[in-house]
Amino acid sequence: MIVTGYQTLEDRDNIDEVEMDGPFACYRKNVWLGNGFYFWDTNIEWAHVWGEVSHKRFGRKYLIGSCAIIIDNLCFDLQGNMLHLQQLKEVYEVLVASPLFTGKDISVGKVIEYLKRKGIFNYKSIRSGEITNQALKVSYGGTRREHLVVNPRVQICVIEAKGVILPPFKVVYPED
Amino acid sequence: MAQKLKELLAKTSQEDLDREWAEIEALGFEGPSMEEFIQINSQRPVVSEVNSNVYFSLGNSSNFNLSGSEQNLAIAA
Repeated sequence: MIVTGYQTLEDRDNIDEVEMDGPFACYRKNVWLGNGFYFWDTNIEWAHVWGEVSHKRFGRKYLIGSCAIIIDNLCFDLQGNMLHLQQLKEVYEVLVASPLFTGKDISVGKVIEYLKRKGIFNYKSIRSGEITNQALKVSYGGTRREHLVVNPRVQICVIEAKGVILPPFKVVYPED
Repeated sequence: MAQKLKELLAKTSQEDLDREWAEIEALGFEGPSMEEFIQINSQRPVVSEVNSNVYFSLGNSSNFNLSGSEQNLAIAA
């Protein structure tokens, strides 16, 4: 499967440079899936939201670049593959049961980094989503309260770009 | 993956684990705990909504406002 990934960046009036050198890896401390190239999956509105909260509210302009991303069996797909989610749950259960991890802060990013270092995590990307309180919910109808969330916020962290990120990387916002 | 991890941990000393984990801690990764993440994602795609009667239509798709807590989960994409 090929999806469209969107990356929000500060607009420094250097679109040509961004298109030539992008996309860019992220090494911020608040990355929650570890270091890599981060993209919003398919829904450009989340890229705009991130531009608003991380740039515009601080008086900076932002731009959004886009490229194609391959989601295949080398993607640890926590959004679309329930087996992978189950595997993560099993990893968590092992860690919780191990006295070695007593008292340790077991966050997703740290665990993935540990698995990478030990050669257990052999994926080139991670796809993961969350349900926000901006979720758009469509009822299944009747008296049931269950509903379908039609705009989950999904991100892709590409650990190894080769063979996963497909050029070109084009700036799609602002438009010409 | 879990089985390989279990085998690995069986051969790992507390001292080695503490040292490696300190290196990872030093990277400063934030984000949800494993437990929080699994709880959230186990609810998809069908969500049992308990506390809200609000159902959006598809026509409300431009309504995006981030709360402070959500910014903690948002990252530099």
